[in-house]
Amino acid sequence: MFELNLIKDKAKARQRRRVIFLAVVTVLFLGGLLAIFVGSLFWKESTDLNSLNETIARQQKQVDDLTTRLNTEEPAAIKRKLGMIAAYTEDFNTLKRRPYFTPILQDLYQQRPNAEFWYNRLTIDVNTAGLQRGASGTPEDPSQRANALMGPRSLQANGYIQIVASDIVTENDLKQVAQAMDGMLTLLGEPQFSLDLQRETSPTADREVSRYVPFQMRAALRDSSAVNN
Amino acid sequence: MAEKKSQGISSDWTAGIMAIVAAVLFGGGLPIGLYMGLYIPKKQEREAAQAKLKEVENQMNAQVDRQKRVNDLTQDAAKIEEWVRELETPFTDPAQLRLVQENLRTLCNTHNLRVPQDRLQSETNPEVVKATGERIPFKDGLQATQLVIHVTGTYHDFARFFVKLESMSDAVVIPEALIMLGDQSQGRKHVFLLSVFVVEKRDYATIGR
Repeated sequence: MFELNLIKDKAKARQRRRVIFLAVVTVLFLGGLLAIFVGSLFWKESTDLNSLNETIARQQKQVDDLTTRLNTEEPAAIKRKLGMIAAYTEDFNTLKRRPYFTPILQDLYQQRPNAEFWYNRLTIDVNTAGLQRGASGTPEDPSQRANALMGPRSLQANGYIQIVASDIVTENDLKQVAQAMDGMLTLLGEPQFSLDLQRETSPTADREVSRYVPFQMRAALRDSSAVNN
Repeated sequence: MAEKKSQGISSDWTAGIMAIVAAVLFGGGLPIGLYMGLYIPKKQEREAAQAKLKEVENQMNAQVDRQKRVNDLTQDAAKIEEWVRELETPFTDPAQLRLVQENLRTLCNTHNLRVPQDRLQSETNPEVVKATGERIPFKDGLQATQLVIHVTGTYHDFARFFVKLESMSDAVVIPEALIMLGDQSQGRKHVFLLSVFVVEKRDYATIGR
């Protein structure tokens, strides 16, 4: 009886160990499966990351190359376009002023007082008052001469006019002539006539009949923007 | 005896349960450890890399837009260059300045404008149109070369010459200064000294460069 129980206990103990062993093995097996699953996820992440890093490196290189190229090309393109716009504007402004002196010469030819008169000397010149020169005598700004060329002019003319009537009539006559010289307005402004009555000469003994009086005509724009715009 | 037996059974189960618990801890801990210690950091790295990739793609898109802008700027500049070329049609090619000088000389001759007498006496080979060699730059790159016209003739002839000079189709001539001296012998042959600048075509390739 005692031996039989002992045999039964041994059998139960073997069964218990089997159960425990199976449970342990099952748990470890499931744990291993899970670990393999997690490992595969890790592996996938690793390969994805490597691939991403390669893509990033490749794209970053493209971005860097493009940025370096554009850092040079963009300012150059902007400068080129602005240069072209400036060139176009300068050409347009140069051409729109044509003709320059023709209206002045036409005025000088067409507008005349009601008396005999002669021009002795006539000078049309650029306004050189604004030119700034450096120590060497050359203009500080190389384009100063061109600016003056495109700017207003000054005119000075000397001559004689034969006065047969009174000085006042002749002066009024010259004033009307000056006002009619509208071709000069853009480049020179309205001319001003002045008579030098002190230096008058008379061809005859009777000064009341006829006198030759020196006159001067001057014109110069005070506001150069009238031309430059 | 029975007490001893029951003690043996319970200690067997205890060891077994401990082994199972240890197996659970080890079997569960390993994947959890791998998950937390390897997978999660790697996943975070991958997410950071994806964010970085997106950032790089945005940078790339910005640069592509910039490239498009540069292309537009280049096209605009090319279009304006065409306009400038068209506008500069009457301007003189720097290599053709001698031709303009020759044309002006012909123009003077056809308008009866001649070399003044005093110059004929003092100079060996006087010319009505002389190039001084002075070349002035404009603010935005235009260049002009000076010519001096020194002639004698009637005012009427000179005025007609001047109208032609300022309306030439193959050259743009800007008069700088003019001195007219009346005939000293009270005749009609006045002396005209005119300084003009002939505007030159630009070197289009160097504009804005």
